[in-house]
Amino acid sequence: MMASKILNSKLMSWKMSGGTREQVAGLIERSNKNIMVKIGLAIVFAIVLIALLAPVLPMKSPLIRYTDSVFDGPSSEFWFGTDELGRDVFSRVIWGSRVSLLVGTVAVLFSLTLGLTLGLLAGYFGGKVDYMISGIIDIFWTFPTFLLALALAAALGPSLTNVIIAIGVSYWAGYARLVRGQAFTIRERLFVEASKALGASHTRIMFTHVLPNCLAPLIVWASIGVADAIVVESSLSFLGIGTQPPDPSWGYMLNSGRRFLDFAPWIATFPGIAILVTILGFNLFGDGLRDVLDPRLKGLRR
Amino acid sequence: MSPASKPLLEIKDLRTQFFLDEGVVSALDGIDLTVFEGESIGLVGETGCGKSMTALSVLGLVPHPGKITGGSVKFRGIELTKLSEEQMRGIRGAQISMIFQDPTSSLDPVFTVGSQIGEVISLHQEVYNKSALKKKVIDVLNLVKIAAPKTVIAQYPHELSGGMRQRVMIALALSCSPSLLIADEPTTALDVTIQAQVLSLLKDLVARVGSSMLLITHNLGIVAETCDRVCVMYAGKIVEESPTTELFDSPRHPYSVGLLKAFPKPGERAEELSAIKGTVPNLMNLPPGCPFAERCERAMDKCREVKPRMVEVSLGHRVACHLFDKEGDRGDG
Amino acid sequence: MADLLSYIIRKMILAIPVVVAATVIVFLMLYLTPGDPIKSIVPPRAGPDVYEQVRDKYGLDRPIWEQYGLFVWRAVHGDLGNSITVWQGTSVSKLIAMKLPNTLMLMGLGLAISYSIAVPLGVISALRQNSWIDRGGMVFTLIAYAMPPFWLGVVFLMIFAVWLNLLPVEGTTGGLGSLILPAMTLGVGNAALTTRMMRSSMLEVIKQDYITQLKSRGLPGREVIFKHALKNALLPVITVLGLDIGWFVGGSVVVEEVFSWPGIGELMTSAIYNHDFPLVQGSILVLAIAVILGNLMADILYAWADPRVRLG
Repeated sequence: MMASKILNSKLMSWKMSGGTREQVAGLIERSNKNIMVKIGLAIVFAIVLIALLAPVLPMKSPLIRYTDSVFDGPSSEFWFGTDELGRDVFSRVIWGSRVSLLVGTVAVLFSLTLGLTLGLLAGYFGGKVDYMISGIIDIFWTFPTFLLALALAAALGPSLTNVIIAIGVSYWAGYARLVRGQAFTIRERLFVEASKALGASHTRIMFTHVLPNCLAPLIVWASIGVADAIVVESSLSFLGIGTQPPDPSWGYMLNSGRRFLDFAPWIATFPGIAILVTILGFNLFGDGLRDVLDPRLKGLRR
Repeated sequence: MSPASKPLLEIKDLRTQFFLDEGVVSALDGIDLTVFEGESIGLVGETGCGKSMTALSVLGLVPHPGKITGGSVKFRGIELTKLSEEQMRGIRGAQISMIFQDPTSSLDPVFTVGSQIGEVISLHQEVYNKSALKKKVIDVLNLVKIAAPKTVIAQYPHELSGGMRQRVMIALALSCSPSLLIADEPTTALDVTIQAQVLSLLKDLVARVGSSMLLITHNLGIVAETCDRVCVMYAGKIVEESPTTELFDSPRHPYSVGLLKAFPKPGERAEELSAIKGTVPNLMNLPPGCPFAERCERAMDKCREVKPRMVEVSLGHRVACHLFDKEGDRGDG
Repeated sequence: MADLLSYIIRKMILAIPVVVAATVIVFLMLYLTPGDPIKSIVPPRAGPDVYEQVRDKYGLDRPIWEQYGLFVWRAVHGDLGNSITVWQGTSVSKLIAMKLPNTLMLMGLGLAISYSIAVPLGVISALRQNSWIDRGGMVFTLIAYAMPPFWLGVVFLMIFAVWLNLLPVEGTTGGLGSLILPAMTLGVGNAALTTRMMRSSMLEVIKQDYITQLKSRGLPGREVIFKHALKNALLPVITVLGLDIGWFVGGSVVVEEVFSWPGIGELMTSAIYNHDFPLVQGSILVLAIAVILGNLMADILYAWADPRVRLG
């Protein structure tokens, strides 16, 4: 195919250019051979696509109650059946993906930014700055994260935004540690001294030297982070302190569907499968990428 | 060592190969080696030539995905390659012992020195009484000249210095008075200052216990000091075998010559250290003839096509090289 | 042994700032709630004299660090306030003391189930790499990991309680029978994580020099694996035991809700749902401290197992 030929030649040229581009190109090549990465990426891609396209897909609205069809099983009209209020489960599941992905990506971005900044500052400057920031990192690292998210969500009040904030604030420590460690090793290297001698500012050094080295592990963490965030969001929604009805959230649907397991299991099952597939996709991608990066870390927990 | 000594270990045409996805690597390509009772033999060669693999093959510890694919290893007349795992276990540690190169990684970090030595002793000598075992462990530690053995018994490997750890390794290897000790680069990972001590300890003990020693190293100096005979190894084959002094005086195989040239001798001024040109052949794709042919300055056409066989050039001195194989000369060269 | 003791003391001292930080976070929760903080502490439909009492006791007119001091003082004396909606009037600490053992039982059994699955499965997977057990185990861990505890719990509920009608749906009786399903949910979920850790750790260990060394001394394979390799391989697994405890705490909150198991998690969720702030605050504080203590114990366990750590 033309596209793959173009991609291939682009890859080749990147490989020759050395530095970050060469690293990234090598990474892409190896990733291509790893089946976990491919399957994971495919799933993630599919779900993102579905989530984005939800408003324009030809399906019923997730909010309309078809009062004649309450508790209907899966049929040609309602692919996943209807729930206790007569709403189309299929479209609710599809719309629910938007919530999950939104929470997942925004929360991770939040944590990432927070963690990156603090980690860079701590690792790069060292000394007292590091001491203080490390202390904070350690506290957030050892504090049970789910509990923290729960506490924050409970305190702030149940809503989608608060869930995002809660997750973001609870999970940044991991990114911070990663970046801090990298920053520490990098700043001892000679080329940093050389850069400084050439007059590069701290920010510039941090961005051009430290960040690229963290990039790959950060992507791994971020991918698994999205999966974790979705777990937390759905758990909180399940408990009733996350996304509120009538917004379709998989966790909430699972909770409300619990009561009808013996005669209408589809209400809880389909959202559950959706959660399973989504988390699986992100995990496969992250794990596969980690294997590509460093096969020795196979199976290790972060 | 007199011709009347019995052979303790006889390796004939030993082949060990690794079956990888990318291909088959021939780590050992037909090794012939004999160790007699009461002698110390040196096995020299550069990294990757198969020295350690020889040792592991003798003990039947070739790691996956490797296997012994041919030849024979006879210990006191018993064919080791045909023994069951259980029978081999009886031999390992008791009759044939091995010392590994890096003492840091060769001791289990979560068990005390005393318990590790005790484990071996009780296994092979069937001593189960705690105090009797403890006494034996202390005896062994004294043997390797470790000061304050009673303290050391309760210590963990990471609490000891490199030299002490190596002594513990030696103690472990000699604890059951094996007939054959295989020492794989026993001093390479040690500080230069400690090397001499450990080496002389090794020599003493081997003599005292009456074992034979197969000393594997890339350091010719150590060989000169400790070994009665030397075998030179290259790309999975033994290329020369001779009494030590004779090898140093008159090396025959071009590779041995190169090795000795590259090795500065004390008292001699080296104008330049000469290196052997070229690189080691790919063990996955061994050339049909002599493995050294590519780098040999005296290579003939025949060398690239026909594998040389071991020929005796003087008493106890054998070489695998076409240059010395008068009978193999059939009309060319 | 002396070095172990000094390590324990050092770790205990280091845990103190974390406990302090936890109390600060929990204390500050009150100020995150929208609206006037006092509204969260006072029972609904309370009269003005109650407001006065509460304002006095909590020192709500005073500077914030004084309020924190009062908070800690009360906590140390076992006063975590009174529940305002769920069990109106009852002391929070009394409620927690009643329910804590149930949660501990749940976590304990869950931990036991998890390790009973993970250690053998991980070890066998490592020893027989790429066999059907290994591959099956990896698939299992991937899927079980992608099912958050509440989902896994619902599935088990469906299978065992609804379809097979084997075990009770609700845990209100509190006996062992109703403990099994929730504990299994936690155990299987955690096993997914721990198995992979065990497997990779074991793979690392059997490659080590000292394993070949031990074999070269004639030790039987079984002893090399179970006495030496396993002990070394368990070390990294123990290090994550601390993280595990955090997971178990979070997981038990959710699982207790699914199976109506009367533990702190269930207490906390109904407290959150009913806006019973003192109860929420108290539960979180106790759970957080439980996790910190659990971490401490895991650290100590690790130092006991790995002598190299005691110096650092």
